[in-house]
Amino acid sequence: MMTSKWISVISIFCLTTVLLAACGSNESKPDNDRSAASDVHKSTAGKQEVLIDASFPKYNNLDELENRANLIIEGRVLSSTFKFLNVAERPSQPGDDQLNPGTTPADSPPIPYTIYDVEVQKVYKGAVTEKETIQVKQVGGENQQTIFKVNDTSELKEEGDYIMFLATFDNSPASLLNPIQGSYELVNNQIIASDKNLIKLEINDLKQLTE
Amino acid sequence: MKIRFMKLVISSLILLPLVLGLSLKVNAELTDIGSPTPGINVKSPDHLNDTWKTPINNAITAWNGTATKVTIGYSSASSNTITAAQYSDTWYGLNTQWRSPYKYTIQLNARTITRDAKNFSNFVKGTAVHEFGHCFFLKDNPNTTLPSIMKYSNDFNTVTTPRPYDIDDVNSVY
Ligand SMILES: [Zn+2]
Repeated sequence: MMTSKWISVISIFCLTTVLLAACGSNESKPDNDRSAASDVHKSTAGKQEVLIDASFPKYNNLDELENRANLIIEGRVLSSTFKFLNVAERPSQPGDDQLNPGTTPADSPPIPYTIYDVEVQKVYKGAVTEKETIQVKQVGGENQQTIFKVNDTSELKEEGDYIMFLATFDNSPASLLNPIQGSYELVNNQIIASDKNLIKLEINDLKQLTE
Repeated sequence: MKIRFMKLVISSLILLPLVLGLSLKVNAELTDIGSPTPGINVKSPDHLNDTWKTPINNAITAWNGTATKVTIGYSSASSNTITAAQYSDTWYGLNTQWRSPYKYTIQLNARTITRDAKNFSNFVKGTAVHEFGHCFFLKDNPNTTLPSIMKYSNDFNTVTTPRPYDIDDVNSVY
């Protein structure tokens, strides 16, 4: 009697484990399934899908973000356009082999970018003025033939309001410091960080920059 | 009655490791574009100076030394490229992959890498190992507490090679 009870307990345990493991394996898969499904969806639109993976520096806290950005604004996205840009610069400081790998801009393939026109609402750091329109670029986007898909990015929405931490360049539109930590959406005066951004930001933090 | 229970126990015990093994394999977080074959080529970046070429070589050697089927070889006929320049942007590296025919382009940013590198050759190597990882379906920022060359939180001054987590992921594909 004792043995049969013991056996049934073990069997139930084993069965449960097997079932749970089976469920678990179904659950850990959807990332692939979902992207495969979205491929089918996209291919019906007849566009080729190209994947761009970009790796960026990660920032540990708000101080690092504020120090690295040379432009911090609240801005409204007015419109966006898609363009291939060659953002490679002509070699500078000859003799510095690290800064100058030996290439010229012609050696670099152009990169697909979405370029946003952003109207500056407030300036927290940097040399722009309120109501000025600046351009912000982000890798990826789509044209008639191709979707240049970037994983792990938060796209800026037209007519959306954002706090942006930007790097500016002489010969090219500004860039967010990275796609996750470089922008915060503003909705009803609430600052909303993207899912994977663990750095909290409040308006008072920004006001301190201008004091 | 007893025999039925025994059958259940035995079949569970046989199934258990199989199912667990399977579930471990599909834990991999993968992208949906990557090389269809484990062996990839790249045009030798002869336009780069040795300060860049050597650590890129070291990155290729690092992948070729892993316990995986993947290999990276130089071929002058390859349409796959790796290059570096001072790009007016905030990224360290970019890997653009086309599905069919499969092709990839890796671009390394001398501006950001030079700025943040304390150990330059490690930094280039780590960034290049990371970018080649995308060719093998590895995804940025995998959701794991284990070390991975694909994490944004890596310091490429010190993390320069594929980690066991990455190798498991690659082995789940090829
Ligand atoms: Zn990456």
